Amino acid sequence: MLKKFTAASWLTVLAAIAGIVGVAFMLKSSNIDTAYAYKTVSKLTLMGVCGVVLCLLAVWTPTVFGNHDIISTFGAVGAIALFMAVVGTMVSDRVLMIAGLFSYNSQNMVGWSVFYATVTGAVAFVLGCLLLIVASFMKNAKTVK
Amino acid sequence: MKRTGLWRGLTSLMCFFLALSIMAGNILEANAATIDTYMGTQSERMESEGALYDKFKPSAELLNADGTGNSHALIQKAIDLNRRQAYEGSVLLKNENNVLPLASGANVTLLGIRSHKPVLGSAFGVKVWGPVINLEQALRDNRTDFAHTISDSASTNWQTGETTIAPTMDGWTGDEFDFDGAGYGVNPTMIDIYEKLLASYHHEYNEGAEEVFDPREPSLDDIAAVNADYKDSFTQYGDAAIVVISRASGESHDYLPGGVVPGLGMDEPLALSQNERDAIALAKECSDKVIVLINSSSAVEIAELKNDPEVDAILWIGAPGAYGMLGVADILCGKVSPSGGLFDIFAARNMSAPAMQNMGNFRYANADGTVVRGGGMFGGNTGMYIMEAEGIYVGYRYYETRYYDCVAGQGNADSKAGVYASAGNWNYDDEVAYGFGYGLSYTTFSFDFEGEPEFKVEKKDNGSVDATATFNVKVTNTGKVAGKTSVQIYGQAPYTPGGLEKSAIQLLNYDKSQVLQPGESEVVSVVCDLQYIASYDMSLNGEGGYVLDPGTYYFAVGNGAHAALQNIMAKQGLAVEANADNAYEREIDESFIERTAFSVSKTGEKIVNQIPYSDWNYFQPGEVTYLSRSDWAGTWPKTYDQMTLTNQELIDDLNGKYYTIATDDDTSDIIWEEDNGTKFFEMWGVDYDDPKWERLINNMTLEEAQYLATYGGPSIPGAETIGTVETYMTENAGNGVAVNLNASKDTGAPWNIAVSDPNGNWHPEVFGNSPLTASSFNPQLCYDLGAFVGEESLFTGIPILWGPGLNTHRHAYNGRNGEYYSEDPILSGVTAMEFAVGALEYGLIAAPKHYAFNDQETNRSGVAPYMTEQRAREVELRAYQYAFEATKYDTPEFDQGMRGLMISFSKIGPVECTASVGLMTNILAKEWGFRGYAVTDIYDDFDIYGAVLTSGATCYDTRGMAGFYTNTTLDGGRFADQVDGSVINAQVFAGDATAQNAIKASVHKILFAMSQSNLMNRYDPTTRVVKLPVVWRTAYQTAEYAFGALMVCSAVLYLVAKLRKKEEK
Repeated sequence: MLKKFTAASWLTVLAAIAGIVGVAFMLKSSNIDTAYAYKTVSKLTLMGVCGVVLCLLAVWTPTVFGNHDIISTFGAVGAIALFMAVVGTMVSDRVLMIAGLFSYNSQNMVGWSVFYATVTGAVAFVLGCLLLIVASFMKNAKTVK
Repeated sequence: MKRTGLWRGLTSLMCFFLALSIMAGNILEANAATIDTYMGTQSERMESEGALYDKFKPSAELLNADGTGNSHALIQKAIDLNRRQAYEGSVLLKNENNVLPLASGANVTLLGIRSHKPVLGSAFGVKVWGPVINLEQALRDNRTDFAHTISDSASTNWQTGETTIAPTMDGWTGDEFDFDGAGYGVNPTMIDIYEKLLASYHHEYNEGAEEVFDPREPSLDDIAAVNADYKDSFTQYGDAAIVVISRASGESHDYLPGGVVPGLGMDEPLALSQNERDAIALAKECSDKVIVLINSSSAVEIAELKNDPEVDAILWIGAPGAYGMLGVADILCGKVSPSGGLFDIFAARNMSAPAMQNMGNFRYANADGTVVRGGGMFGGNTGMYIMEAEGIYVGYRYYETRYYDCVAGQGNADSKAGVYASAGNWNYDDEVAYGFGYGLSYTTFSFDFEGEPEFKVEKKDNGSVDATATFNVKVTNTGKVAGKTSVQIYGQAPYTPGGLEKSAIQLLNYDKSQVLQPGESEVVSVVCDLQYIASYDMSLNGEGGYVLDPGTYYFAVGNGAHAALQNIMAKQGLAVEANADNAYEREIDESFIERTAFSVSKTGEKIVNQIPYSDWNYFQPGEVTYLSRSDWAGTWPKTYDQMTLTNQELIDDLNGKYYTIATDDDTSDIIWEEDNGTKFFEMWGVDYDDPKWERLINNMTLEEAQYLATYGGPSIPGAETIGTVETYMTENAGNGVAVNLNASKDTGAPWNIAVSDPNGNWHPEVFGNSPLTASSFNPQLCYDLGAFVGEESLFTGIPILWGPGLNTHRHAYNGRNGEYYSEDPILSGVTAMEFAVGALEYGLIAAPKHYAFNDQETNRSGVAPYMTEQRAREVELRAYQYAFEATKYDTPEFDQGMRGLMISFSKIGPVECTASVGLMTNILAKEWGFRGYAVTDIYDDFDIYGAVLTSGATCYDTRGMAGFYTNTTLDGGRFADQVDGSVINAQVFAGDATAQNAIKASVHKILFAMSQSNLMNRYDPTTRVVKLPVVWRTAYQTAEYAFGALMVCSAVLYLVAKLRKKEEK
């Protein structure tokens, strides 16, 4: 299978890793303090994991069905949608806390820890999306003779 | 091949942008109300087809002929009122040889960097926004320069330590205003020097307290480094030298004992630094007339200036607000004679207050593992406490009582305990610089009781007793210039050594004369409610209550508490030089009034202990000794810094175990969804006890009621069944409404200021700090300030104001003293009551904060203050009681009361104030008759939802949360972590009768408050909310449609290309 890998394949693998990092920091952000737990953390985890699985699918299926196959295409698109949905929920849930940190509540050290974990997770997910986008423009399977 | 890659890539890219647009849209909609406030946009509007705006409207002077709003007139009125606040509130402490007022046309030099950049407001909290008039302009100019004088403030990121200074407004292109300044020449050389030094000595018009403080006053070398010849300018500008000494005040930080940057020549933050002393010395070089302005909301240690014969005058000016320097200039030039009295006692050393023995950071020795409750969204630590071992001896009550006992020779008052400034044993004159209520004028006054005081006792049908003493005081201007003065009436209850603790003197009430010409007299009547001279006895009949011990009571008028006490002492024959004729004695026994008459509140409620858990000894007896005047030396507070939790009830309380939500109560008799047709718009003017309220609330669903009892604003949920709609309804603060004129939440009002108005950017938070208002000792001024803020609320569309601050000053180090009025509960209570009643004239509900015991900012999010219930009631709660009973404005047909309140972050003892049934229901509602909106502080105590909603609190401060029932729901993540493990959703109280009834009661109070506010201007049967196409909404919706379409197109083209490729094969 590796013989059929292209640069796009490796970028997609990196996107999957970024997704794993994103899920890890999302969970960390949710577990630092009970006051900042995501109520939908299970759903977010499932979405993140599904996104990672779709990334891996987008790596594997071209080696079977050839370059730019439909499954890998919609796998990548699906992963982007899932990753961004997780990011959206994370940021939305943290808006008030972040606004507080940068105004009246800057001494909230727990809040800052949550903030950094959230930002790290969100950046990882967005990075994963960008890698997937770049990979989508590229050839994602070699023709092995 | 290339085309499949292109379309594939574009599909992914468009998917990304579409997701981004959706995400942005969701976040924007969920925070629409907040975004509108800060961007000045309006994303939705209440609309109606009926004739509205007939219940409240601004005064005619603020309207144009066609009924539209006149922004210029509004700002002019604010300027005039802030000016009046400053000249009525500033306190002249010293004026040797009548150095003040300065002659007209004088050329003066301003010294001290704060003369160029004074403190006008707080860094955080009651900040002063927008264009201002600074001191040099007020002294020199006659027209504002708003375009170049914008207030600023600093923001420090605690995580990074980075501090940034920014103007509160990008710029001012609106009107400039003429004013009559002092007409002085002001030394430009020093202004120029200080302007340059600001680059390295950062200062802002809005600053706050700092735990490790540096006044950042430049040295003389620094000044010389900018201009070595600066002293040459003194020749031309040497008619007087005015030095400004500043200490700031703001939310979230305190000054701390010993908290100063080393090497500044000061050991405490409110003492003078060496550079400040050098600035005063420089003033002496500059001129033979040295005037010091104390620009602070806390008592600064100025005994050395009092005793310095070369310092001619001291004028305390507080933090005077955006235009208050005009009032300061009025005093300096003699247009107005000063008439203020000190809001707090100014001790020689602030550390001498017994409260200072227990101020700052204290954590239970065994907090780790014992106090397991989390800190909540505010990130606070629940293991912190303070032991308020000073008992009732707060502020002047301590110094004056100890003085009295020194002279009377009782209670070991004349000992070394608590000595900070005396050379030997404790001596009042050494320990105190200026007393509470003290203030000088440019003229002199005599005070004479006009006839006998009128004592009245009236028993009411509900069992309560109204007992008052009216003192008619003839005030005569015995000096040579016009002036006015406050008439302060103090009282002394009989004290038995070893008996109930009593202050030797306490303010009972006050009023202020009109401006009196030389030789002119006026009789000022001051009505004192005798319930405030009663004492709270926690052991009365084993259940507690107020007592008026039989014996000789003394009353006196005087220039402050010390003079009044001395007048009483002279009457008693003690060895003091004072005017015994200004004191009055009266035997009070049970033939006049029952000893326990005040153990029944004005509402008819029997008063008993309600917060016994406030006392540490209630849980762990004998561990804390409270200060007693029976033995000042033996009970002088020690520092309780190693308290260990052993009592399980105490630990459980600290862990928030107050209430368990029931699941199987019989709730069948609690009516919801009755559908009787009653709507909210009909409730204007309906009495609280009218059965129509019950019918209205019976219409609601439990879910609607729970939304209303949960989300307390700024956005407050609507309820379809009663015809209300979600509305942005609440804002800060005590010095004005925190919404720009052109960002009104009520753009449908006829007087709405258009976005295009040149003054539309004006921000109404412009008034000076609270102590300045209190120091005026002028109830009418306080009323007028409240009324003006009420008018602001009509222009900004905000019917509920989170302010003013109403905690009492426990000590000078509380960083937030600038937002609270005074150390005296009566002065605080009268000031807040007048403000709130004035505001209500224009339909604004003032919600005083923070009820209660927010005695320091350090660890404010959950600190546990322990005290006796006597202290709680007589010192802190009394301010609220006075304001909330509002007896002055009651008539036989109408109970004035108050309609709003914000609860403290703090606990009372180990119990959260938000969850204290004793505090929120039994005292606030039952004893004082409070009927209104009682909101928590921001995001406070989300983890004890059931306890808060059943305590008597009516709702949470949920700033930023909006879009109820859709974007923000009851089963969102905000209330995810409950101490009792319950899961919060719209069904959580389905089996809890207590909670359902509590929610009904909360909804009743909230809706009743709203029905008396200017919100009713907007309600009729057709009222609805319409979403408007604001820039950000149009932008994200356009993006969603565009990227959605592009993604679909790209995907289709990808599939087409893929199919063609397959066909080619």
